[in-house]
Amino acid sequence: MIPDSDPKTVSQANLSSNWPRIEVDLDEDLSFNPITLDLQNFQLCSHKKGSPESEKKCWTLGPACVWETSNQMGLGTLKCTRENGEVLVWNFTGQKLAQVQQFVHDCKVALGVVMETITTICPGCGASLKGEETCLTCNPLPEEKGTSLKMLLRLYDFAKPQMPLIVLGFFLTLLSTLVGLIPPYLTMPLTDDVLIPMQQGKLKNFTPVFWYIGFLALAAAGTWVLEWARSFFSSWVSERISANLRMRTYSHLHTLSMEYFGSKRTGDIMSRISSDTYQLCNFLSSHMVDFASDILMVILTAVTLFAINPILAVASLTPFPFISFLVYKVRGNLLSGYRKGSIVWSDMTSVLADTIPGIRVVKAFAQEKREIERFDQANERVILANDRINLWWAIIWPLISFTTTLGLLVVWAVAAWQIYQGQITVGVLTAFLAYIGRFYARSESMIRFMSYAQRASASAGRLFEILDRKPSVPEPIQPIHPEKLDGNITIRDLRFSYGSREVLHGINLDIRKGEMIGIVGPSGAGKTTLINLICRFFDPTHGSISVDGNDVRKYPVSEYRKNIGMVLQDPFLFFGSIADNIAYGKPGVTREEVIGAARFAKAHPFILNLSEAYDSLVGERGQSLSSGERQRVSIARALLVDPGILILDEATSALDAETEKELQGALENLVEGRTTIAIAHRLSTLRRADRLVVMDKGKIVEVGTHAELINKDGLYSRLHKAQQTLAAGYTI
Amino acid sequence: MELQDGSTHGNLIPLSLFPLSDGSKHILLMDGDHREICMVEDLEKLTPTLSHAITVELLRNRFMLKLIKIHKVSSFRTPAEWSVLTDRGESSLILPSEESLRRLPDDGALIQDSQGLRYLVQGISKMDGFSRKVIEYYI
Repeated sequence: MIPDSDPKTVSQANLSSNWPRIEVDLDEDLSFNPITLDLQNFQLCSHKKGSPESEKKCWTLGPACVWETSNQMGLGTLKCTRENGEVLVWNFTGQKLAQVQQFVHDCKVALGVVMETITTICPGCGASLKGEETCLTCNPLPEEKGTSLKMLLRLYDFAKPQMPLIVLGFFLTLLSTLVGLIPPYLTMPLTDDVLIPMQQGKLKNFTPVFWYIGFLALAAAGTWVLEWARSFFSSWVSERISANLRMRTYSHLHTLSMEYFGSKRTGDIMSRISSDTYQLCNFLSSHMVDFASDILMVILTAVTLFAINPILAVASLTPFPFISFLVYKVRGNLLSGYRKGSIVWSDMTSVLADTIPGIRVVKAFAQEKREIERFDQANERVILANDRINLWWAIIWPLISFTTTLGLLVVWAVAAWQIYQGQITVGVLTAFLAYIGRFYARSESMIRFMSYAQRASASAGRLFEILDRKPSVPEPIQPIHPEKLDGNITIRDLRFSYGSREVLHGINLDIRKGEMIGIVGPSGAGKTTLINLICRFFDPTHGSISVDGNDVRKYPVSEYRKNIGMVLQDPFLFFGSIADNIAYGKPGVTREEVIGAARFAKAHPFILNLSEAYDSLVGERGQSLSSGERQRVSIARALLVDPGILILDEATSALDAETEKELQGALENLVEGRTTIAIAHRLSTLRRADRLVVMDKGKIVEVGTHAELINKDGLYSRLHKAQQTLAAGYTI
Repeated sequence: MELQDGSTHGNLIPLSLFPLSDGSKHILLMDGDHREICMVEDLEKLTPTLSHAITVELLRNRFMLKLIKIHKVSSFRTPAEWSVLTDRGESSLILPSEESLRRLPDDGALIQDSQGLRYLVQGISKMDGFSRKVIEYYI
């Protein structure tokens, strides 16, 4: 096809001195070795970097050249087919794709090929984008996640509703810290004014001791009450913050597309929502408050110490630079130790997640020993990782205690000297020692906090990773409310890629209201992908699907899906009664409707045989149903929703021929009057279909009725013959 | 290409059957319709020209680089940019998330960058200290 030449574009291009030019990063051996491509005066020249000018190759190109770019598993290919049929090929890594596409666009303009305006290109991977859609090809790189501190600060969002209580909690902390400072202060007059005079025989009266002890007891009681109130309020608040976080994460999870669930391990998502929020709750309720009170205590103690005696105060602070230095030195080691610990831990749980569902296979092949060994290895790695963390702590704690003890000795020495000089009294020394004990203890707990904070920030990061994930099936900005759809489906030039691999290459199909379409083809032909796109589990990379004349992207997702009924190969029953399972898509229907749907789906008879009839519990932990029975429940489920569009994805594949025949009646009731799209491997199940669509390698290859396709002698008739021979083989 | 039985074939597609555990052994040659033509047991036993041609074609089909050394990483937090040395020259990659790096049996690892490009690491314990540290940080 020779595109029309647009004289305006050509003249513009000729006038401009900016001829397209690009550097691709791979050579013909696919080694990293840049090749410069530039187009000048209809001549495309390719020159390998560092090679002599004589090795430059040039070709004359015209507007009829066909350009093609692709990206397969990170290897980009630029193909240019010349008018004489010669194909020029260059390769590059995926990150260059956007630039190469721009280059191709520029070349087409320069060569005078009329171009549609180029669609926006995803900055992450170079795939074309339209409008505000997120790029499905790569999910563009998130912004720099920021430091662990930032991660924790983001929790503020979730804490906002609890602000008054948090302020109250802080106030209580301040108060209890202040009260906690009283007892050591009282030891000063107790020693100087009471104990020492008493010892020297100057004081004959014992009552002051009662007073002081009484005050000390009062202060202790005050601290106790305040501490109690403080920890109660902070737990109360943190419980609500983490519940809020859990809720927001879980509800956000439901907006994410199937793609996300496909790429994540279930265990991982579950642990994020359960154990990571628990970690955070713990952190917020105890460690965080402890830390706040530690800081207050340290500051206030320091102030008090300086107020009593600046020289002694300086002496007591001497261990601090050493401790800070130590902490700074091992921080990185500890952090990576904790990370490693959590990674090997999740490795170990994955061994469990792997073997327990596969326990039948393990037992059948008598491989228990090998699985135990596998677990043992993972367990061994956990020990190793934790040993490393413990080793660091084992080094650091004694060192810190040693430094503080040394600090204490310095205080003793300085105090002794000052007492000797008559500058301070023994009481001051006693008070100092009491204060310093607390001071050092608090600073130790602050160091401990550092590791809690690292852990909590890792947890917060894992949660925000879910929360920051944008749904890849976006809600429309100006939605059209579908109410009840008739089910006229129009598919135009539909393309879809999983990652960089395109699996649907331009599908065009019209399905009339009430028509039953059977989709057949070998595995990997893209049948399920097509269905997933019609259901809007994903959005297409290119092209559109319209239902009743509107692009499906214009309907709100959930309203649209209410018009679709699905019967899948392996129907999933939730834990609950059979009635609840039938009413799953339409909660709140009457019992009569449930029974009616069950009758239509021919599920009624077997339900009557269950011990509690419609109240029988099914699903995990419930009564087990046969696959035919479960399929009937799922047909009833779809019937009750009364959808305009019905999807049957291998609905009867898992059943034996007899059960399938029994189910046929139920299915016919369901299909009646609805636009139906059915996928089946067993061609015989598609006998009722009005038209059959044969797919192969992501394309539609044949469309027609069974008889037409058999006569055509194409892929369908080959598949049909193969199945017949197979069936004949079985009967022998 | 001519086989021992004298038949000739064109446009063959090679496919490594164990690309991660031993990429140079067991290479299947298929024609355009994915019909098996023959099996190359060991690439190294072929003539250098032939084995080179098959290697390049293998890469064209399923591109994968062998990571030899990591020079520099922009950050240990993801996404991070790494500058690396591969069996096909110097390159840089963007590691999109921690899960893009996974452990393989026999002391190996597989990295998938933000473009879907794969980097195979073999013998982590034999790598230089920095490279080993980076990889072991994630697995």
